[in-house]
Amino acid sequence: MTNEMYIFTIVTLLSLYYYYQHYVINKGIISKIKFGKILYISNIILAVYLIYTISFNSINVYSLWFISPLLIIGFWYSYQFYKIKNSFFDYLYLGITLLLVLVVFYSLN
Amino acid sequence: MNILKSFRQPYLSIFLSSIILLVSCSSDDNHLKNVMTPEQLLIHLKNDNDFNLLVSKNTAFSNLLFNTLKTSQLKLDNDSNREVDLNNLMIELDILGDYIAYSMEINVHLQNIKSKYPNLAILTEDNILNVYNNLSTQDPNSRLPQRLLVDCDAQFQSDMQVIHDQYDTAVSICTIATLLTLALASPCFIAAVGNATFQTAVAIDRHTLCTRNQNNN
Repeated sequence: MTNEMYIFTIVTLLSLYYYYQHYVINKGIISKIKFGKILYISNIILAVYLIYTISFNSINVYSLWFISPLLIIGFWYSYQFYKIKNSFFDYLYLGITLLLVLVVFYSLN
Repeated sequence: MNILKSFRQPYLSIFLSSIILLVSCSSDDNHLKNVMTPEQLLIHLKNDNDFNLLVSKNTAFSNLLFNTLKTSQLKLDNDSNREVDLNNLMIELDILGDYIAYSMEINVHLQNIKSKYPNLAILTEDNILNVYNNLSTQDPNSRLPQRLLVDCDAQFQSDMQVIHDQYDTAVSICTIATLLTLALASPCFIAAVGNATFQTAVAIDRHTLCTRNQNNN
């Protein structure tokens, strides 16, 4: 087994566990979203695809075109999710997370 | 309880890891900008603009090169393209800022030059590297990269450069995906961090092995 395969397997398993936990905790909310489960699975596919391309060093900016439909689905799902959940702490936490992401991105450029 | 439940999710550790690796990678990369590996130099010399030899207009370097070529007919003072008489052979020179490029034409006539002037020293790739290294030490104001890396160090530097570039690309795309999916695609950051760490470890191993082999030889 190559190093790339190790990374891909480990990170994919961790991510699947994370998505499973997220599903268990938020089962009620996901069921209220139209096609919630399908949208959620498409998000998992997006994450696994990104992990695969990063692990095998085949990621590039052009791959954004291929995953753009999944990104739009992901945005729609998340928007519905947070709208239905309507939790102040989740909004706060999401805000901090996105702020951190922007800090990382700003540091890179 | 809501706060505790939120913090059970692994976002924070992922992003803190990303930031730590990002800072560790980006804080000390200035030295990389001034470095060119021999391979990069040769690729530059061979392929860029179809020129096979690039020399500085700087007098010391020109003298150094033309002494190596055993010619003394060139006096360079204008920033323009010109033809010069190099031992009765007209060779076109392009003057690019502080540098002069011999056109590939010289390769066509290389055999003629060798037969006509058997004592003429022809610059081989090794000679070019030696001249380049001499220039780098003699002329600190040169706009050439400050030093050439060789062997294991060069390999390690280029490995790290590749890892760094891949990490930057991965984090950029993860950032876009995470922002668009409102943090749902964030696990890809783990892959970016994990992959960079793994590759760095492999590069260090390769460098250690290379140094050991070099010392044994």
